[in-house]
Amino acid sequence: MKVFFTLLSRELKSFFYSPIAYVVLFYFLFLSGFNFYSQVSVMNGYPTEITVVEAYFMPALFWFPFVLSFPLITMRIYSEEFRMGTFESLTTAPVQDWQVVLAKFFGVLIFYVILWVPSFCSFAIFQSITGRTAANAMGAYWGSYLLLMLMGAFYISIGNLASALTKDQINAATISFTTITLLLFVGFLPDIMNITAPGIKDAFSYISTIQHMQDFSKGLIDSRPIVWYLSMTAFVTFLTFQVFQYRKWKA
Amino acid sequence: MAPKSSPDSQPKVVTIQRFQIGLNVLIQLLVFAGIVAMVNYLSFRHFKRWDLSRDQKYALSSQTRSLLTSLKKPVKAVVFFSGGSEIGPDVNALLREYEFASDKKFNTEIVDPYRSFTRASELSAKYKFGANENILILDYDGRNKFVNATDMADYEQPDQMAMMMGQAQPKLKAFKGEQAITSALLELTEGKPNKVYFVTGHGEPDLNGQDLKIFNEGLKRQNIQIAPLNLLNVNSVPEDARAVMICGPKYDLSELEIKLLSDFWDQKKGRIFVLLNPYARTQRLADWLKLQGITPQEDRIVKTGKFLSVDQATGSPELKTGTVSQAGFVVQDSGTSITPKDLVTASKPLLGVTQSLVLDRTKETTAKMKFIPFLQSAEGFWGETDPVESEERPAFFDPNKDHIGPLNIAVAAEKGGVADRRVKVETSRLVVIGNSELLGNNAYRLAEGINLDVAVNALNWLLDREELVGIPPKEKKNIALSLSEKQLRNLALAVMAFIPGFVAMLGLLNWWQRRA
Repeated sequence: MKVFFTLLSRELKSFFYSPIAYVVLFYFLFLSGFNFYSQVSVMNGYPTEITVVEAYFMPALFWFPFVLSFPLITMRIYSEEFRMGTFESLTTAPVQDWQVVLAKFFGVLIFYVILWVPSFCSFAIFQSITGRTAANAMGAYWGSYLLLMLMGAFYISIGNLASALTKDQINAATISFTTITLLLFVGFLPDIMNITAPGIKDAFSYISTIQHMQDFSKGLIDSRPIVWYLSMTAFVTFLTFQVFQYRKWKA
Repeated sequence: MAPKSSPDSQPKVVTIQRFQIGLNVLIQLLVFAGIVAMVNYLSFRHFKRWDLSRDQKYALSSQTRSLLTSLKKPVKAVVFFSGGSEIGPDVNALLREYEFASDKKFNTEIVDPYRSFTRASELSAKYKFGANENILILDYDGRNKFVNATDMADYEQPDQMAMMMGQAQPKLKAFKGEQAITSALLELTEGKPNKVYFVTGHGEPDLNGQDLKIFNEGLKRQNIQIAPLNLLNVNSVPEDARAVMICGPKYDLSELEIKLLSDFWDQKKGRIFVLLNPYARTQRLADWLKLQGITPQEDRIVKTGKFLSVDQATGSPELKTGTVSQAGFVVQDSGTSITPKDLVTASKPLLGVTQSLVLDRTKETTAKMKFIPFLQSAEGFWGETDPVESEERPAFFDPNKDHIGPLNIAVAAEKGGVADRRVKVETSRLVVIGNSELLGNNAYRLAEGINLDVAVNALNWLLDREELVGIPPKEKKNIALSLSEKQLRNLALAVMAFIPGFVAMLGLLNWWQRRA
């Protein structure tokens, strides 16, 4: 475990030594803040059923930076090792392959959590300025951020896999962006293709990220998305492990 | 000597090894994928939902959930909404909750009449409706009921200025889909409305008057039909009466009326709901209630405290100390469907004056009565036997004469029941409340609707509709934020400038340190 934490700390340092982390953080937080402010402005003075928390997590202004953040933070994870030539030294070091893969995964995950902490501060700022809560209950906050972490873990694992598959960062970003976008929009297929069969609709609803966020941001926690994201994260990370081992032995 | 492997055989060995490794990895991946698929399939079929929203804004009311779990046959809901309908997404989201809560007994089919023309035509022929769109059809046991979009929402008509500017569309004010759908489901599953008779002729409030409007609407949504009944004009309580309500009579009932009530109670296993008027002298009614073991006391539930008053000289509101005559009540855990879990410990003020009730526990053995007190006075209140005329004069508790709290404000009684609840026997049921203004519109506003929830649950218990236990669905009111320009500006600065700016500063600091 000591080795794992050493590798983890290496990953985190490499993030924050690089200027790209700050650039991503700045633009992400700006877009996130703009989304927050614009939703509050739209809701101001107009009666609505939804809370500020629900309004924040639903529009395109939330999903666009959300989807874009994953390729940006994961594209360099393995690709940079190949490019810089440090991959061989990593694979020949006295570390286990699973330690490397998991350290890289959790390193990105921690950065992703740091990306989202200020948005939680936005709700606190809203409450202190206006004297009103942004949600009807703490459950809405718990639900929203729990789902954000679960979705984040899954999409990070996809980004890591894309990065492990190619030496080129742009290719890695393209692969992960395309995959994540497809997964995001798959929930709309029944409406687009006018599928009415209940079983098929339920199956698409099971994997629909936007549907999950609609429920969780209201404080309705469902066990199905939790199982979906955790199991798929484990599966894709396992795939990444296999790709890493293949690259290691090929090298 | 061991045989040497030839150079020719080495690539072959490596190829075989690579093939074995590749096959091993493929098998591992397939097994892992299989396990993930199985876990997700099980999760899809068996899942749990936790509702962490405090006021359950989008979750179903406890009464709707009770109704759905008690469905004896499946219900099919066909949503016939066009894609452009304003409340379409809300209706679909609501019906998903119905499906989850009913354990697959409630199924939904969504049909867009423009995109699924064939299916729309089939449904139109089956259910015999015209070119209507934006309706919901509930189908249960061969019966069906239509719920229109207009029943599921309240719209605000545009004013003249808005209409002149071309904004002629009514604005959605409140979505009340759950009320409309649960009410329709109740009608469908019960087949016919439950008839409750409202006794008149003694100065009771006007059943069709404005003051009972909210109560009447609440009963209609519960599939309860209420009709006036003058006991002096009949030989007996009508056969179709599921219950009789006596609401705050100002004058006493006659002996004949008491006899008819008594017959209804004893012979027909009657259900009676009594709201007492503490100001009225209704001795015969009080004596009849005493026979059943519930005695209204000659008191007023009061406490001393601060109340809002208007200064006569200046006309401005001020807090004064005096007698608080609007009794506060606390919903007790009765262990029955009269007080569902989400109502227990709710505490609100009652409008008007309230008297306490005393129970004769000996009736539990002599007359096989079971008493269920479900509303008690809140802390600090007592039963004042010598009430003062003016609120500004504080009353004082006299231990020799007055009744110490907590006092019973509402009691339910059942005659002829058995201890084992699994055994259903015909019983007579009675609910007595020591306040006559519980059902009025003003009481509804004062108690934020809790009074109506209590009354509805008590009525449903009276009518043996224990599957409907719970708080009835409420209309979802829209709320508007009202932030000033300064607040919006501060918010913009904080979330768009300060937070990203702080990160930019950290980045610059990092860059400067690296340069140094």
